[in-house]
Amino acid sequence: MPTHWSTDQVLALAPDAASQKAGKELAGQRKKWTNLGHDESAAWGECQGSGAKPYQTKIDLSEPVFSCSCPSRKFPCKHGLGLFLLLIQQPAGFAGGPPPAWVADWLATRAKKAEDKAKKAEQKLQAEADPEQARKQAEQQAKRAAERKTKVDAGLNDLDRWLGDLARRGLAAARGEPYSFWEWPAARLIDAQAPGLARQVRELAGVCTTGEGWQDRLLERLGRLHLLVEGYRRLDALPAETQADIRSLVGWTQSQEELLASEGVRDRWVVLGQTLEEEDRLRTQRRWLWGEATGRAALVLHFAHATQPLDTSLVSGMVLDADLVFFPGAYPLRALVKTRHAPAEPLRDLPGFTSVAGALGEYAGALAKNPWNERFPIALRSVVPVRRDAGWEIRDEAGDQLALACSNERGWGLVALGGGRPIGLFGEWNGDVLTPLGAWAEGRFLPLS
Amino acid sequence: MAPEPLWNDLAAAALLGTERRAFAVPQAEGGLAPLFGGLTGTDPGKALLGTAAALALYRRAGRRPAKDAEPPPEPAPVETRPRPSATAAAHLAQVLSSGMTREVLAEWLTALDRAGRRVPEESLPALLEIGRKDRELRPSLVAVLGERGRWLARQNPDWAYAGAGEAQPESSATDTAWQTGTSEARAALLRQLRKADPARGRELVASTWSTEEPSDRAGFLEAFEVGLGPDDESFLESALDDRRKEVRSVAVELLSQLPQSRLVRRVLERVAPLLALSVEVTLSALESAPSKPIVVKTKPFAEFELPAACDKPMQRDGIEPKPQGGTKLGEKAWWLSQMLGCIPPAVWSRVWGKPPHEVVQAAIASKWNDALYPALTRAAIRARDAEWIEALLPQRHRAALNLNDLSEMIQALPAERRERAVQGLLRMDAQGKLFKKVEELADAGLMLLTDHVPAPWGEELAIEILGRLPLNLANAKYYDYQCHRFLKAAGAALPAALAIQAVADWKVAEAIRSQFDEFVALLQFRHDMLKELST
Repeated sequence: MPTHWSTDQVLALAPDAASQKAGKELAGQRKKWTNLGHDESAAWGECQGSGAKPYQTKIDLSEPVFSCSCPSRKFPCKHGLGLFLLLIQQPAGFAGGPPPAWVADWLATRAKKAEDKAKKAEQKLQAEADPEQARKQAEQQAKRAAERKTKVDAGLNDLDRWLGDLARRGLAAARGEPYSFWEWPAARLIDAQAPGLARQVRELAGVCTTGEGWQDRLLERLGRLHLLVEGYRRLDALPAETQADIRSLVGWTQSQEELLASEGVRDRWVVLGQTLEEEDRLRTQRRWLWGEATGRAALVLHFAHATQPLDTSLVSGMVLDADLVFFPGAYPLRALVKTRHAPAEPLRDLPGFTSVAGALGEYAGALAKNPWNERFPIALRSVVPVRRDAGWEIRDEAGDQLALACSNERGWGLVALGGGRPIGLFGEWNGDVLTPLGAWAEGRFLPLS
Repeated sequence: MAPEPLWNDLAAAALLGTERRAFAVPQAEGGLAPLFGGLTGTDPGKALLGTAAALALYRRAGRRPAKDAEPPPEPAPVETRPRPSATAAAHLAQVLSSGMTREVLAEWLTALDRAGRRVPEESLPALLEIGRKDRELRPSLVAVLGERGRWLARQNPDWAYAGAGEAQPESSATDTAWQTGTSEARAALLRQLRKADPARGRELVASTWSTEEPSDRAGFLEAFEVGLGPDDESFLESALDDRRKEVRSVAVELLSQLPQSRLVRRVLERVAPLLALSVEVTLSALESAPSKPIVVKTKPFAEFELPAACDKPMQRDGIEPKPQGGTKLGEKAWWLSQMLGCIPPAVWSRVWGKPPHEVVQAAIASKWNDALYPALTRAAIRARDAEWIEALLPQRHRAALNLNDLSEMIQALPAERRERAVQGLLRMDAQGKLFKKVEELADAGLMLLTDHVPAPWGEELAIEILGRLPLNLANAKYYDYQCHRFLKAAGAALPAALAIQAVADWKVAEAIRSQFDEFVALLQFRHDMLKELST
């Protein structure tokens, strides 16, 4: 019975709050649903909408993946969410047994697509094995890369000059500048095909208005940018992994297809937390994974423009036996799921560090390898959330503390979860505060986003 | 220099800029020395940024965790109640997140208590916050907080009601708030204060009474309805001489609600002779437990004389000389009706030794019924006399009562008696007049149920409603706000198991379809929610 999913987990899959609400309502309207059923790997049902013909809704529970015959462009649609919630809340209303044809067909199509994709990748590899074609392709690629490099070099020279100017004129003067002062170099970097740098420059404007201590924060970021420019200048002299870090920060992207062809790291990967950010109609999903055996953390990003669907295949609190491929880097974090070996299972115990000192030690090591890290994943197996004068904190057995970035309601919620006893906590550490994203208490996982 | 002062110097230099003050890469020891060494001799701006990069990383990577200066917290006592199932917890989360009414939450909490379980930890902060604002919900919440909830509440003064007992507001803080707040804030403060300590509220008002704006005086006096008691009489009596009419009429209204007030005695002294009753006898009937039975051997309201004039003392006691409010009564009948409205109706059952319904029958039979029925109704509402209201309600068709009066009558009943009263009204309307047409859905029964009968509704009432509602819903021609409001209240108040069965085969007009769907969804949700906690 696939009821190890929780309502929170399902609601976290919704593309927006309106869909959450609509999904919950549909789950309450039991009368609208007919032909409800499920087996090991899928659930299905027909939902009466405004039309004469009911919508056919189905879920592949192994990831999960949703599909529905309704015209909604949201994904998953309210019917998919409603069906999933209904399955959790009233499993008894679902018949067992094999899926009807419209479900079986869909599952079969999915399986075939996956197969075709694998075949295509293989063909591509074979094509690359053809020396003549490979040589031609390589030539073209090299030409494009050289053109881009020329542009990026020029862009970085301008950025270098701009940074130097800023340091000469002083941070106080820069703070008084209008928005265009920051926008200009950012736009220049976009033209120079260095979007990663452009983003970092744009963020500087906001740092000026963060109140007390803004100059420390701005100076630190300027230093980090300067280090990046200097690193780029000496790119050829640096180790390959650091080169990869710098190139990706500047804005070069890695071909995911190429990456997926490389060998993966197999482990039981625990999904410990997720965040969703939206900027200029681009939504960025960050999911943090943690390998039970390897103890490695991994970050899976997903980008969705405008109405593009979010990815629903990684749900906090679930464990997947899978191969992950990591993007190259000196302290690799970003990864892709290459192959799944089994359906996701619920978490049995939270992996992670046993002490705050241990976690910060790992963080120092990570900075030594990649000094540009801004978000470092920390999972702690045994900490007590407490309220102190300064705010919300967690403390480990040795009395070592970390400050939390959270609302009062979240803070009280964490204190309540622990009841004065240790809990497991996962979050993003930015060097100053830990933003909690998932908690483990008394054998239960609670997503905190 | 240590990293901290190094950084502070650097930040100061960066603020100014290297143009205004020459920058030299600082001296450093240990790991920083070679890093800084490589920066000397470059362009000053770049040297500054390079120093910042190295120093920031150095500090960040070398950061040690702070030690907690306080001892670890005292752990919560071991729970004696188990947590509810994950499904039940999900139901609660849905109640909290989707803006369902407090009735549904109260129902869930009660069912949780019946199941011998406790609130899941993750919902404690949200629930304790709700309880802070909603006093009525507190008893059912506190019962299911569990050890964890009480432990948590003890740590937050806002939640003292659930952990350490209620804290009284500081008296000096109250004085300041009273003297400096806006009119609305002061009125709210006064009402709150009257709930806990009526005397303190009265003293506060008295302390600034002479300097208040006339418009504020009426508002503050209205707040005396909270915790009204015999001790308020003297103050209210003095307000009868206020310059402002609004103030005076509030005082009359409140004094009429105090059976022992001088105002009630004065009115009674005027009325008794008109009804051919001895003043002494009627006055002694004001006592709640007269020493010897007072029985007058005449028929109730058989003898009648109308007052000759409306003199100054009568007007001081709030009797309006000119008929108002669209009444068809003549001037003198109007005066009598107003006076009767000030006298607790229990007086009449005692004087004539008859139960309320017999006195009401006699009043209706009298040719002065048009003056008597509204007067007795007003009097029963003011006295909050449930027996009398219940005797008057079945006769409501005898008088041109408007909805407001009806609604006040129901509201004057204690909450647990309202359901039966409204049910009686619905029955009376056996032809289905209340519920016949959807256009009439704004009619009495629905409004009274929606506004005054607290959830949950009993099965008998439910059967009454469920028997009539389908007709309304099938014939609806347009969206109706009152009907929507009723469906919302009924979805939260009808017994879910019974209602969900009943609605299964209803045919509903398109105009009200989506509101009906919402209604059914809420019933279904409550049904599932209760079922989950009953197993």
